Amino acid sequence: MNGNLKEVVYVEQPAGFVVKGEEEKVCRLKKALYGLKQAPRAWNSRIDGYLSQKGFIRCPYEHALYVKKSLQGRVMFVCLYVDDILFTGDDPTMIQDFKQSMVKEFEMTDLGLMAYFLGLEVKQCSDGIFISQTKYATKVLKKFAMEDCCPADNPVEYGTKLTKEGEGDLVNPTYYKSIVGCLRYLTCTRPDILYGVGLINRYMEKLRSSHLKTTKWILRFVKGSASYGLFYPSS
Amino acid sequence: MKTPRVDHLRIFGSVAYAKIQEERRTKLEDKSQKCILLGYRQNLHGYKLYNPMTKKVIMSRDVKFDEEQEWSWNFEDQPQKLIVDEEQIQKDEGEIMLAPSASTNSPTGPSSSTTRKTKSIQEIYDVTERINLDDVNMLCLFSGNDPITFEEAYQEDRWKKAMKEEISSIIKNNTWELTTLPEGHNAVGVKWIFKTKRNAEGEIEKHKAKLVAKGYKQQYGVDYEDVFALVARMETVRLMISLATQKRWKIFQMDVK
Repeated sequence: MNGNLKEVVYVEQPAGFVVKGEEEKVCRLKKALYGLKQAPRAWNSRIDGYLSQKGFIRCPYEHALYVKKSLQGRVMFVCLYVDDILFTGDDPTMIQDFKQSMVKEFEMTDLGLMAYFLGLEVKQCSDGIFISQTKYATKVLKKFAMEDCCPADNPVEYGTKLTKEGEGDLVNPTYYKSIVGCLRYLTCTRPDILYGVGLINRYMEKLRSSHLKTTKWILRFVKGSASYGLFYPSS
Repeated sequence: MKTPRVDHLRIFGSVAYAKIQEERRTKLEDKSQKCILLGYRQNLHGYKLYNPMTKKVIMSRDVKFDEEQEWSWNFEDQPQKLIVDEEQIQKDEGEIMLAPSASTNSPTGPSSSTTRKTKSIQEIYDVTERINLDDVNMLCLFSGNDPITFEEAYQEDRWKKAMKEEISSIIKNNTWELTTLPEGHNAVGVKWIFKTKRNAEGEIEKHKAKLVAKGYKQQYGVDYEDVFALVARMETVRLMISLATQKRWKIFQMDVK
């Protein structure tokens, strides 16, 4: 995934591969190298250029989304996530052509039907699409050493009232915030914990054990419901 | 700047007793398991321990250490030796009465295997062997062992091969050309990153070397201007899923090698 560089950048010769007799020389980059500040940008410009040339139009409100309409009125959607791409459409031959051209142009790997994307597990079947984040939820529980916790029946304990002041001892804010961050990502397929996450989200200062308790309660709920997700029925 | 805390650090290889949670044991079972300290958990509090009896690596926060002790390998390798016949017990009990201090100073500590306290100190010394270097080296295998520096990696052929692959792919892609550095320009440093790729079963798939630029040395406006790359919002992804279901389309995925 090396885009073309528009800036002039020089890098040292890599250790172990210095050209004999030319030790003083440096490498002028033509393509971006991983780690360069502009590497992602250069990649995006390259793939954007390629898609435009292929007749795709970028959505003016969401620049990662591209649409192409064929002369026969067939459509195709492409969604970019840096080096991951998703696409769908109503014309199988158009999709096949697109796949082949991407493999040729960018050395892409065809992963077939969308099944795992950014922690999102996708199951595509005849009566609809099911998305869940089971693996991600398990990972989160493990990260916070909650993999063996006792599952809770509800996302928020009945009668929970959080205040700015809170109760109990002060807790490590970084720890608390990282749980909140993980839970926020989990809300992607879990609208049922959205209320609880919204609640703990309001408190980010002077965090006390009462705040952390509510946060961990949500984790305990997730423990008992890690396989829950969203189902989009076709009809 | 805050001084990092180091009071959790313990002597590598010392004997550790990891508490077994109450829910995980019955009243009469051991309250702790005896292990060897391997290291520390990443990003989290707690220790990485190895239990040679179960041959498992465990993570635990609730650990007591006996830094004076080393694991006595010979002794533990042959647990059948611990089955002491009744006669022996009787004999030993006599010894305890005679020399009670000897039994309490049992060098292997209060673990399950020694709670019988039926051996005299001399007997324990007889069956205990100092940990030998080979075993320590074996323990080191449990920690991550990808080389960090170029010098380290250059010693090994597999990493040399990986680096050659990366360089040839760079040359094939026409990534750079060799020139002299014009005055007033800075060359950005490059660094090798080494990673062992494993498959889902944890078997080694390939050794990968990647050349990366030290982007943090770049100066804004001189070496780069725009940096952002666009990513799709999660809502967009969900919208696409929803559209595809309604229209009964299939969604496909690709990624760059």
